[in-house]
Amino acid sequence: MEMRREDLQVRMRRLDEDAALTFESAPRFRMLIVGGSALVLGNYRSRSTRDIDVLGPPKALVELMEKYDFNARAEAYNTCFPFNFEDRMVPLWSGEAIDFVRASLEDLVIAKLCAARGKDWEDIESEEVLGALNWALLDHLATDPDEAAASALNPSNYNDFLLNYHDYIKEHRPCNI
Amino acid sequence: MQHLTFGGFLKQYVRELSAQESMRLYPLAREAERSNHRLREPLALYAVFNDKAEVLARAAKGDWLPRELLQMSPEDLLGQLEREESALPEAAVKVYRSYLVAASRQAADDHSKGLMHRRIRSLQAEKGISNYRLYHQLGLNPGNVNAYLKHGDVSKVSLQTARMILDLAKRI
Repeated sequence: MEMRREDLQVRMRRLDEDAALTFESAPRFRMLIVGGSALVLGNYRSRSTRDIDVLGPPKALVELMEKYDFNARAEAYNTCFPFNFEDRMVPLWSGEAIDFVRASLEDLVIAKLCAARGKDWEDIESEEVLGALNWALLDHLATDPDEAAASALNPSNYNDFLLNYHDYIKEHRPCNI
Repeated sequence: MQHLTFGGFLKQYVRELSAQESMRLYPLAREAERSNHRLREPLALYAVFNDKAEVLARAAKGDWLPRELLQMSPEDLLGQLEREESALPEAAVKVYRSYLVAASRQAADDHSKGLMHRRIRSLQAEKGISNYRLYHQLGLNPGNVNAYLKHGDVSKVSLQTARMILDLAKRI
């Protein structure tokens, strides 16, 4: 796990270094990491991941991001995140120019239940993720009208998500919760 | 530095993604089908670019394999992957983008050294720091450092060396 996290951390440092040199007097940038790399950086997954998905990247950094395989095209998954996910962002590392943060584990799981591709299920059904989840918070994000429901594109999308969510908790939520 | 081909990158990438110790296609195909979705597109691309498309087509059971990739020649596939708006699966296009980043590592380092050069020159002008002071204090090769600082020749210093020079210029 350590080497894969380390590789991501090296690329964060390189991006920060270039950003500091390119935008010397600019205010600080914030980079929100999501997806599989957020799980690896949060120590929830120990698998290889090449590109680093970023939500809402600063426009000024997009060209630099591509040099280090940061994916600025994750916007399509914006509606998969609970509405107030930014309230729960977790700091990762602050460099000279960029504050790197990641989405919380529960927000990431909700987003993956929404996208529901095979690789997303593999991530959220891993022992490491299941062992670390706050199930009460997950339930709140899934069912509160101001969270996942508020972000969904339409009621049909939200219903599809709920079906996935109910399958997920039926299969994996511990009985004593 | 040896040029990294797409085929070579795919071999490394499949190895990274897979739980298998070997590159045998039958076990890799089973893994991609049953437990490792991320492996699917890279494995298909690997097969095409390493002349193993027919073997993978035989090895893969079920409909998980993106067979449209296997039916293309490497040249046609590359042409599609290079297009801004490719018709290929996004997962395949992402693999290609990762390859471009890996193959451009030297260019990325050179770009960073160029940025550092600009900053170092600015600090030298601001603080009156000579090239001599920088290479002497760091124990560096004068010829290489002068070529880098005077002429911006990024090939003359490593990334780590450029960083050391910049750090010293900031501290003086």
